[in-house]
Amino acid sequence: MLQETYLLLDTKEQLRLAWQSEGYVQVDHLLSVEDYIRLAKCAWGKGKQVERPARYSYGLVSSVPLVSAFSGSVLSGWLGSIMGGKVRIKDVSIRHFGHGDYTLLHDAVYTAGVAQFFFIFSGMWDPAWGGGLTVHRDKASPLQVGLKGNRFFLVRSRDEWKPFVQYINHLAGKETFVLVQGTIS
Amino acid sequence: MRETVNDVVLSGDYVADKMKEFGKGKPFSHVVFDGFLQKKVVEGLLTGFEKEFFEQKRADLFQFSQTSDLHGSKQKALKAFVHFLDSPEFAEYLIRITGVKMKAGASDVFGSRYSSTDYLLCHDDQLEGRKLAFIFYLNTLRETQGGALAFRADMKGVPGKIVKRIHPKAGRLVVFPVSSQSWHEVEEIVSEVNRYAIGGWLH
Repeated sequence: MLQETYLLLDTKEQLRLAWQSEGYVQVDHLLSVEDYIRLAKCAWGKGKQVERPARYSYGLVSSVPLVSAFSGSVLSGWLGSIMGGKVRIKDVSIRHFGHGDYTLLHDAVYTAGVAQFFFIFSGMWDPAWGGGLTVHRDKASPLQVGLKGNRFFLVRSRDEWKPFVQYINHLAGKETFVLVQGTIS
Repeated sequence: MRETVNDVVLSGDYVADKMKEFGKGKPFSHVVFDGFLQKKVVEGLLTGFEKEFFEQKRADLFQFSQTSDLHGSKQKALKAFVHFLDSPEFAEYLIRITGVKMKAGASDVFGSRYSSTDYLLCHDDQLEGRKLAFIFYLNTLRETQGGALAFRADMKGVPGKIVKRIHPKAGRLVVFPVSSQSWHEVEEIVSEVNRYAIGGWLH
């Protein structure tokens, strides 16, 4: 499922050091092309729009293959080698974002587990459309994670680090992206 | 006050109508004054805006540009307008219509510019000391251009559906009390027309 380059000992060691020093890691082209295409077909499945205006608006996608892929032993084993120790992935959600959707900072989102990961399914996405994943940091400039398909972002759960998805504006038209989010304990 | 507002808004009948409108406001008490500001005042404020610095604000909740508190403005028209906002006459006028007690001269006042794709998501404005929120619109946008002030119903402490939209119209004033139920937002600007307004809170 994962690109072979990310399974090399040298690569994992580099990621482990980055994780230890920075508290976050971004990896592009995480999945093999075949697996990305296969899973992307599930990602844009039928979703249910959910809205709590003071917290979020997005479509919630239900997909057993996606949840299995992102909570399975392949990913958790790889994450364990980066984070140092055995990890467990729980609460995997698949959220579909289009014009008018967003998430706001909220306690429940960023204090869960020891870390969170985000995986992006997207075609070409212009940053002018909004929607970027941002990690607000109280004592540092925000981390901006551009929307690019097959991008994986792992971030430590800290009270002062708060991820959110910027409002997606009308310039996006009918373009959408899918964000897989998981909590690691 | 007569130098700033149109005479009609000072008449007894008009004030009586606005008192009723405020009481019947849904989903929470509010009142809309059309043609409140004189045309020449609106034009003067827009001219004053041209020399003000608007800082772009961006966070999870919003994206728009805003001036510093206009109490510090050096523009003649803006200074005169802040003086009007802080006057005992304006405070008494709003107290009579809303019944909300406030102190004349205790206000936060900002100029705002919403450009294409700018927005302010749902919130209630609650912060210690804020009694009334106000917005003076300085230009008009068509409904299809966005920028409406949208009010949401309160559903046991959380915001529900949008039940009212108030569109930007030059000279229009909107006033509502700040409370745990005053859920509102500014809808995205979906055109190339900027939305200019002066807004803030009376304490």
